[in-house]
Amino acid sequence: MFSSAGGNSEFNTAYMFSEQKTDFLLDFKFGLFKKGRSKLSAKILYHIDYLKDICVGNDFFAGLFYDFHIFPWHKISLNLNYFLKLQTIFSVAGKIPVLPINSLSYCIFSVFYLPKDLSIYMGISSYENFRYMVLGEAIFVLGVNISADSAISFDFNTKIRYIDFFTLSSNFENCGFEFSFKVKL
Amino acid sequence: MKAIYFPVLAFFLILLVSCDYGIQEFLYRGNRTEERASEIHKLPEISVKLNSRNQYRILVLSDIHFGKKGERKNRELFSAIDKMEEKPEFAVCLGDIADHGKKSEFQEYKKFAEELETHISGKIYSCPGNHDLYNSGWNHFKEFVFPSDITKSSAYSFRVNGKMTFYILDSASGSIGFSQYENFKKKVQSDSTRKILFSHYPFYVGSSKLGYFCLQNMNEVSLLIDLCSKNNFAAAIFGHAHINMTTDFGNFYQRIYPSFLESGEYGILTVDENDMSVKSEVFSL
Repeated sequence: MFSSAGGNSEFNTAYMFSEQKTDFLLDFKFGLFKKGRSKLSAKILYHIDYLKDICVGNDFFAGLFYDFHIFPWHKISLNLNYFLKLQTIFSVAGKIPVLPINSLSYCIFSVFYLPKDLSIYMGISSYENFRYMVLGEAIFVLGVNISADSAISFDFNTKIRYIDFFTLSSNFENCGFEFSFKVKL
Repeated sequence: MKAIYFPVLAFFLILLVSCDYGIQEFLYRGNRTEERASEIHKLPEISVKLNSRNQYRILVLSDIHFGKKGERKNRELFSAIDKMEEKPEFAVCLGDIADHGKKSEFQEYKKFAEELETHISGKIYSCPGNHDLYNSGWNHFKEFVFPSDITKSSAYSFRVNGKMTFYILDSASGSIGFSQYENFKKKVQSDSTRKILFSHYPFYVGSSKLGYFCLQNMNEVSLLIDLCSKNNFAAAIFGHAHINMTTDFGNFYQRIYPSFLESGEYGILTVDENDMSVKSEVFSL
């Protein structure tokens, strides 16, 4: 994953591949206004997902982020996106070239800033990098971020994933741990 | 500052309103898809009578929701079946039999099913829906809908007249799941007969429903559509979305049936053994 940030904008691109599946994503986030403890940003995202010999999916996001510092040490972040999914299934493409789905995606996060460049975050989201399902998805996240110095930061989080969460069917899908580090060039 | 908490409060309010649907299980339910649908259980083959045109009919009911308020047209359904020149040879119920998954709702269904079986020629085959799982409803579903001498798995298949195989899958949790998909794939790839798939959650509900009333993982949907398209399926029949919709995928079609409780509508599938085609119709009471 490669990120570039400057001024009030941020650009990310990421690539993932295996023998059966290839993913590529691009996103661009830019600030719209910042006043007092509030900040409003817009984000656009494109993701392509190729499943060998089966399908290709194209995902487009356009949405708003609202960050609000309740206290200097506590921030709440809300995000709502319009989400368009265009799925092409090769074996039926002669009859239906694309299955379009108009949907929404969201995330709600709470971040606590602790001393010594440590922050703890928790939230619920309907999407994550390389995983963009229709509205019913819920991913619960709890993580910690540590900045070792101004150039390097470490992130560790745990995620619990549910499918079709809002029918209360509770299809617990899986849980996982992620560790990443970011180096500023 | 307070306005920021409104979405969080709304979320918890929705949860409280949902108490009747078994809020205590909203983060974890003991019976996951992998446990309910541990195999594609093969039921004994059945023989049905054909009419003079080499056809037979199947009654399809979807989203009956026993326990939910509404005008229930059971009597009208029995009367409509009695008036049919050719009675359905058996029936398929597409899930959401109970509204809250409570024992009394499944008991009510059992009475209805026993009476329905006296009006048609054969049995009722069912798949679970998301409402059937609320309040540990799976235990009652096993007792009143799938007695253990019929099948030990919520996913099963049976063949009719040696020519058409009916596959019933468990999508009650909004997903087929990896192991059920793999089992299904093995079965259909080694089965050369014409096939029909029945399940609760549809593959696709169109572009305007926020994608919410279908299987949530489009890669899973793509794998299933690909499998059906390449393995001699005539049709895939679903409920859940409470709409009447047909999607033609070329080699097979998807039909979503409306809710029997909500619309008072039922479906009839006509299987033609001359060309192994399946005609799907909806009738109002």
